[in-house]
Amino acid sequence: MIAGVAAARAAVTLVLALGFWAAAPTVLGWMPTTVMTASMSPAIEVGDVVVSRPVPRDAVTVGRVVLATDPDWPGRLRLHRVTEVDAAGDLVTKGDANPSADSSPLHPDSVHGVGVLRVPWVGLPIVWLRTGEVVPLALCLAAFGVCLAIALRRGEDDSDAPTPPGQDASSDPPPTIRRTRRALGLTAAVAAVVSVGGTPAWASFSDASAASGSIAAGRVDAPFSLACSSSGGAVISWVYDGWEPRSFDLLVDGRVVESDIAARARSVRVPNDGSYSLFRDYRVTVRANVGATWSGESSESVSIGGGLLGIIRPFCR
Amino acid sequence: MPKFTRRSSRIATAVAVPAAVIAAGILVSTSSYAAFSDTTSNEGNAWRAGTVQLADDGAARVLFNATNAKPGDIGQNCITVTSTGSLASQVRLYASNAGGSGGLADHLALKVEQGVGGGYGSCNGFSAQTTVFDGLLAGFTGAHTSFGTGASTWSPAGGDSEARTFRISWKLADDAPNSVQGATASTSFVWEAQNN
Repeated sequence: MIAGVAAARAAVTLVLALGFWAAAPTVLGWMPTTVMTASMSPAIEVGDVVVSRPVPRDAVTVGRVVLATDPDWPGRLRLHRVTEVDAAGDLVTKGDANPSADSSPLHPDSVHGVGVLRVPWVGLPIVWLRTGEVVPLALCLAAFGVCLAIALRRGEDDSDAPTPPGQDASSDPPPTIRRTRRALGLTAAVAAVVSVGGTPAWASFSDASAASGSIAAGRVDAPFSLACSSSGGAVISWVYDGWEPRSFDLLVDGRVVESDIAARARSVRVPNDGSYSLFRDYRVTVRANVGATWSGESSESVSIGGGLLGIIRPFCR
Repeated sequence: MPKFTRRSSRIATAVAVPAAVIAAGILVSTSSYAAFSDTTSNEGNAWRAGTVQLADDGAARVLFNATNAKPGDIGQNCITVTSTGSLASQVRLYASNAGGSGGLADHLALKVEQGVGGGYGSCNGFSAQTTVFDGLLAGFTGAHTSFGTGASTWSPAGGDSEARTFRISWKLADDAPNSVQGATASTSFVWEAQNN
């Protein structure tokens, strides 16, 4: 009998003491969080409460387990180990059980603290509650309830034992009330632990795979070997062996004088639009149009002349 | 059976409570030491609580590598991504190592479709179900740079192997300006799964 009660009291006290370690550090401004996933396994397991302590920036070094705002998940906390400080000063983290480091490094400002206390098991009911695992939760609560009932068992009055001096048995509250008070106190303590340590921290599992793609744009091969032949006026010919063009343009001093020349054409007559002066040299180039606005203009040019408002047709110089 | 008296109740308390408090202290301190003094991050083989695992049939390979592209040129490739983890997770697609010159990415249309059928190297039999991204390559590499900003693809339930095929197609815009002649653009497509 006495051994059973002692064991039950030990069990209840153990739970409460673990709860104390999980919850009391909040008084110091430390942050208890319940671990929801096992990517820090075996160092930290699901259902552990990890208490993180705020530290100055330079105390966050490689190897520390940090609690930080997860850049990958809005509103989620990440609890992973720092493996590297990158060139930008950001912290590269990794779950011990993850095959590779987290893809998004942490900005030092997002770190809430460094893990200092790990309280095993006490967060399990919170994990079960969040994941909807009713059976283990109910079993756990029932077991705790049984322990609590046994632990609160009161000893029967020992007729041999003298009443301690100054203590009048009649002034004590009735045993049922005392027991109810104790039970309420314990429940309040458990509720406090749950509310304080219930913040979930996620040690995310992640894995990635990647494949690359690259595209290099080409350049339009410009027409070349431009020549001018006089055959009832100037006829410009060229050579072109690039992509099939949409069309060619003929330009005089950079001005398009003939457009939409067929893709197969390799020569064209300079139109006599009467704009040429007898006393000037005109520079003729050919442009290949490959895209809507993607073209290549010949770097060479040929010279032509013309004059008298079109009476003299354009001629090769 | 001996009577459970007040005195024995007091003895039980006197033994059990300090022992439990000390035990809790020992538990917390040894657990904390084990968790936080180890400064190495070893790849664990303790996969008790489940995993998130992702693989693709074109891993670290090249989806496309086009050279000498001109306006109107198109290309496409497919890749199958398989989740074999045991935990429910989300798979997101994002760009990494995006690079290039001459602003070519502003004139490359990119479309990423998710579906079934086909695989790396051939889109034969591919049947699209959803469009993951449809826009310019520059828009993709600018907006989706990490898991947090990644484009949603699908959410494996965990447990069974689940595969999805992605068709990635590109087109160099017909109206690309002369300034992008000889320009380049490149990126890695990263599918990342994280448990949710």
